Amino acid sequence: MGEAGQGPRTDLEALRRGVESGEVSRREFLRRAGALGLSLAAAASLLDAGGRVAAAQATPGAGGAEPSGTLVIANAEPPTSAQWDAYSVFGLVDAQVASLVHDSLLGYDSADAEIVGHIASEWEVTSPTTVRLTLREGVRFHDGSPVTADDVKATIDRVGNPESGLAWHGLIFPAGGATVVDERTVEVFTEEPFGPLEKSLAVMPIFPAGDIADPELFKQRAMGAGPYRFVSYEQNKVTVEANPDYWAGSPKIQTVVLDYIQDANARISALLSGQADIITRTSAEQLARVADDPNFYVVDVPPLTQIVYIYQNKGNLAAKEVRQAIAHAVDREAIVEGILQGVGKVPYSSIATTAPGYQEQAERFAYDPARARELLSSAGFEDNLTLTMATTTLVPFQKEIDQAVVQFLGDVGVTVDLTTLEVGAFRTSYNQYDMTLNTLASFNFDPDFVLGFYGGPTAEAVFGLDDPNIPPLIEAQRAAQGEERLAAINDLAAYLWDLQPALYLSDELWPFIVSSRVKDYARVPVVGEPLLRFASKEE
Amino acid sequence: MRAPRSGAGGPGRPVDVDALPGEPVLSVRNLTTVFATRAGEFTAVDDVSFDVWPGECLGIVGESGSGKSVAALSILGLVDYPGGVAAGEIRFRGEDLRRLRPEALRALRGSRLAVVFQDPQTALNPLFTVGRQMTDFVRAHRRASTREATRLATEKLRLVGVSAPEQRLRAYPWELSGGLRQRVAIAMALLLDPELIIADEPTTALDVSIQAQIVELLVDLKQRLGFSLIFISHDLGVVSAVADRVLVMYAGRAVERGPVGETFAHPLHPYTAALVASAPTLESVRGRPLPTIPGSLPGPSDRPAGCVFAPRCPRAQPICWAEQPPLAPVLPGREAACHFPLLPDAPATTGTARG
Amino acid sequence: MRRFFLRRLAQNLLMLAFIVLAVFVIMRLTAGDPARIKAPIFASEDVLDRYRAEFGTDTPLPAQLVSFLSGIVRGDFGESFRYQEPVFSLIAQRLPQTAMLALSALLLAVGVALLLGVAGARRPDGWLDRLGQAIAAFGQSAPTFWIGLMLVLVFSLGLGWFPAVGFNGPQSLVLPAIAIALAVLPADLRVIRTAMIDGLAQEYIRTARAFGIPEWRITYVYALRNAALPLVTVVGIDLGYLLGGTIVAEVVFNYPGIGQLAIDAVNARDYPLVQAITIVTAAIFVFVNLGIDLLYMVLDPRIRIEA
Ligand SMILES: Nc1ncnc2c1ncn2[C@@H]1O[C@H](COP(=O)(O)OP(=O)(O)OP(=O)(O)O)[C@@H](O)[C@H]1O
Ligand SMILES: [Mg+2]
Repeated sequence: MGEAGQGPRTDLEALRRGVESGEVSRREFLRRAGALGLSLAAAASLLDAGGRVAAAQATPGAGGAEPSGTLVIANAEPPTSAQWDAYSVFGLVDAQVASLVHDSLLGYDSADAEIVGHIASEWEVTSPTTVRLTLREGVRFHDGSPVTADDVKATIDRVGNPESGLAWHGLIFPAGGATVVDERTVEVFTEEPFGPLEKSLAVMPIFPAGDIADPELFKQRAMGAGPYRFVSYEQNKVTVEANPDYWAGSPKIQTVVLDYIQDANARISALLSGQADIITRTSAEQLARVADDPNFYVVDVPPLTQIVYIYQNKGNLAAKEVRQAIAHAVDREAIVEGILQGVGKVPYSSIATTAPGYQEQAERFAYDPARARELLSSAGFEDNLTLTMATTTLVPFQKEIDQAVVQFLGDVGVTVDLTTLEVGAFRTSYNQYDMTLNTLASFNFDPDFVLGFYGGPTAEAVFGLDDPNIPPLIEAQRAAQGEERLAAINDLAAYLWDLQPALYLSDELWPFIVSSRVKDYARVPVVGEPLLRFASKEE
Repeated sequence: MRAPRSGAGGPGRPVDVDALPGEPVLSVRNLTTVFATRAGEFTAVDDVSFDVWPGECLGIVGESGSGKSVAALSILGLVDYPGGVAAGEIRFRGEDLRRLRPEALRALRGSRLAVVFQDPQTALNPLFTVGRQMTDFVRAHRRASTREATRLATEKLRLVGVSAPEQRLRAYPWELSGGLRQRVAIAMALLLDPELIIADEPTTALDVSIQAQIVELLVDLKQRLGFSLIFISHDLGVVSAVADRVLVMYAGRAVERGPVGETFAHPLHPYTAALVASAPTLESVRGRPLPTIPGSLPGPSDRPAGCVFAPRCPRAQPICWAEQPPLAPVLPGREAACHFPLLPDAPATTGTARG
Repeated sequence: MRRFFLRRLAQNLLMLAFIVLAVFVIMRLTAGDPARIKAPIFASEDVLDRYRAEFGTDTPLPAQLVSFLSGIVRGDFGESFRYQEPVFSLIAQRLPQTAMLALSALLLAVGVALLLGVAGARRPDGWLDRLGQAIAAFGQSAPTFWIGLMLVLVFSLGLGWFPAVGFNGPQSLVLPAIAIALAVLPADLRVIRTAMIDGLAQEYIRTARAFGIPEWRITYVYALRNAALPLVTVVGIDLGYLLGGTIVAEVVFNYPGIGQLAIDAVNARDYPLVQAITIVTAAIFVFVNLGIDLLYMVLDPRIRIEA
């Protein structure tokens, strides 16, 4: 079972499942298989060998066996809120709940992260600011009411409203809304062109219009049209159960428990004792406990997650040379190998290495203390630069990494004044220190999410950065489509890479350790678990 | 009336120098009690024998540390760890207490065989009321309701001259005066009409004025109730007032035994003589400096091979250092463990070695 | 005695009031904005303001204090920022779990301490005494979290006798209770052993024996009664350790108790929850200590008189 979700085989299996469930058309299957690097003939033979082309047109929901078993996912964090309004929160468990309980217009059905129709059966990008979607028939919320164009409109209008105060506004969906064309057709629009729109629509849950009208309901339960129904949130455990009426067929596992286990040792104990089936975002230490153990396998399909030192781009760090000098002074490879024990990936650009459009930049900012000293002295610093840094335990191995960086900077004559803070204090006051370690994760598998932080009020608030060149570059990549967009993303990434407004240390790999009892578990690079409905569990 | 029967008596029949008619209540033979200390074995009671006859009071006297209390505790089977009776026979009404099962011995203690300890302040439990303690003691031996037990306790308190006994029962020991406490302790001992009471220095901790009352009470009770009494004391005056016969102990050994009057008037053993010389009489004024016995009790390591008193004895001869004199009849009804007893007709410093 | 008790009660209530005020102030003086902690770093000020309005942390401190105090007067401790539930219902879910765990640990510790302490006092340097000393030395030197990890390793992952984490019935109490009990046991054992040695050496124990009181009664009623006072005292002191140990054990065993709730609440700057947990915990301490004072009076009649 090696690495589910890693090789083309698993992707193909997911694809074939899609065909079987009637979800993926034969033509689309062939197209996607091509994308996976298979020759058309080979792909066709695979399908035919399966002999399931005819079955591909079977009615949705013809999955077969009754859902069974209980899957426990042990997380290191609880939901950030007990208010099941996905648009107002950015937490791991929030996203898990949203992906299980709710369905979205578009979605993911396979580990290749291809976007497919969910509530919308078909869609078409009609202009840089508009997508026209046809709603699938027979999609129902858990209370039995059908998902209508009005529900879609209410949901999209709310997050598109700049007055909403929703956390997702501007990050996952900008100013915009939806118009109802007819009962089964909706147009989603944004005021400005928004390149990541389809990726966003793939993670944006559709709520019943009634819930939006009465947000108090979010406090009581999560209600959506997704593969799992919300059962309870008690004692830090979210329990959901299979929705047998899910339009694409019932999920295979009957009950999913999203558990919160604060302590890292307790999490691995839960896994080893069989009390948990999956533990999320594990560390090298935990991976070592199950290394070579045939009872477990590792799935590392992270959302776009960057481990960065956030700089305050002013004062001592106002000069680009100083920031570039730090980039040369810190041996990022050594940190990833030595401290993260290989569970990380050193980037050579400003976007996650797994992001669409990632390209290594020519200047790698390789470890070069001599170059660092040169840059520092050209900025007027000769062993007289002192930076402030705060440390805590927010990022895995944060204390160790911070210590190492202090050392590396000391080697080039930069003194670091290190303050240890409690996590809560750190999260509140990080921007009072010159540099602080943090992780930046994208919730929609689009680099725009993180790139957007470097322009506008967020840049000012988070990075102390106000570079007039950045907003136009952000706009440009949002306005572009397809290959052009990838190029525009790289333009922005390259500009930021040279600017070094943050020290981008590594990607976070998010290794999940999965019990071998769990079959067909796979992930796509988003925070939630859209593919969990395909997984099954041996008892 | 007291016919000397020295050396007489068949098997199973206790031997005593001046046996009274009938069987002795208690007959102790060759009692040896040993403590295992860090320094080694320490013999606190060494080969001691005596009898107590019905209605009789036997006094035990001796310097502090001579083994009086240990002897008493040995009889009760209450020698604390790390001590124990190493040898000897303790016959109570003919039954060897050392062979008794622990449960049978327990049943005996407090019912047929009772004790009055020295200091009622510490001997009574401060956490329980007098009534609770007395009823507990009754109920350790008899199935009795609280009311019955309380009635019995009230009766005994009245017997020992405690006024308003019902009220006293509700009091904690520390709420009572010293004399009253000791009366309570005596009432406890009387609860189940014992045949033998061992009173270990029952007056030592009390005020002089009260001492006399308690002594009187004991003498009076013994007469009225007819129990036998072992009365342990330093105070020769008190002993001569209470006891019929006396046993003198020194360094764990019985050195002299005989009727109390004769023994104190004409001691046979030089130790007894020294004791008498250093003792204030009941009538004497306390506070007057007393002649003391020169030297001190031998420690466990410097017990001589011969007579234990030899190191302090003004009459000691070479044989005294070499050979241990047994307790043996010297005069009718009187025994002493001495090579050169102080015979009334021969007050010389020399004597005839026996044996 | 009644007056003495009422005075103690008044003192304790005053202290409680002080704690209430202190926790309110300390929480707000401690760096950390609950809105910022809830939101990701890239959240806009709009979002933060919305959270602040939701939490009521956008009003000036005196106003917050007034609403907090008036809430207390009404018996309303507010709604948790994170759980959006009245904090009292959260505490009501967790407190019995923690109480159960702490009590199991206490009973285990006191039970074992009694068994071994009494045995050790009756036969100093006997094998039970040595066993007790060994367990006490271990409990004293090994930290609770480490003991917890080892217990999980051996009895859960190794032998599979008990669940490793969580709470699924009484079997889930065993390992954490042992881990906590081991921390409390050494003091209990020492106190009981010393008090029992002292108790058994009392002359009135000899009196009781001389009056034919059965040995078991002497040990467990008479001598133990003597040990009751120090035992009650040490149990009072244990409570502090119990609380600390329980928090650690709850984390190590992922036991759903008030300790984990408190840690999360502090990390999230969930003011109402932290306040309520502190008040409830402090109140429990205060009342348990009052109870201990009362017990003293019951156990030792001499104190009754002095008071
Ligand atoms: N538990 C014990 N362990 C070791 N030695 C003991 C113990 N109890 C008594 N002894 C020793 O036995 C000897 C006799 O003690 P005992 O108490 O019988 O003397 P006593 O004649 O009653 O003295 P006092 O007049 O002071 O009561 C003493 O030397 C004492 O030290
Ligand atoms: Mg004595």
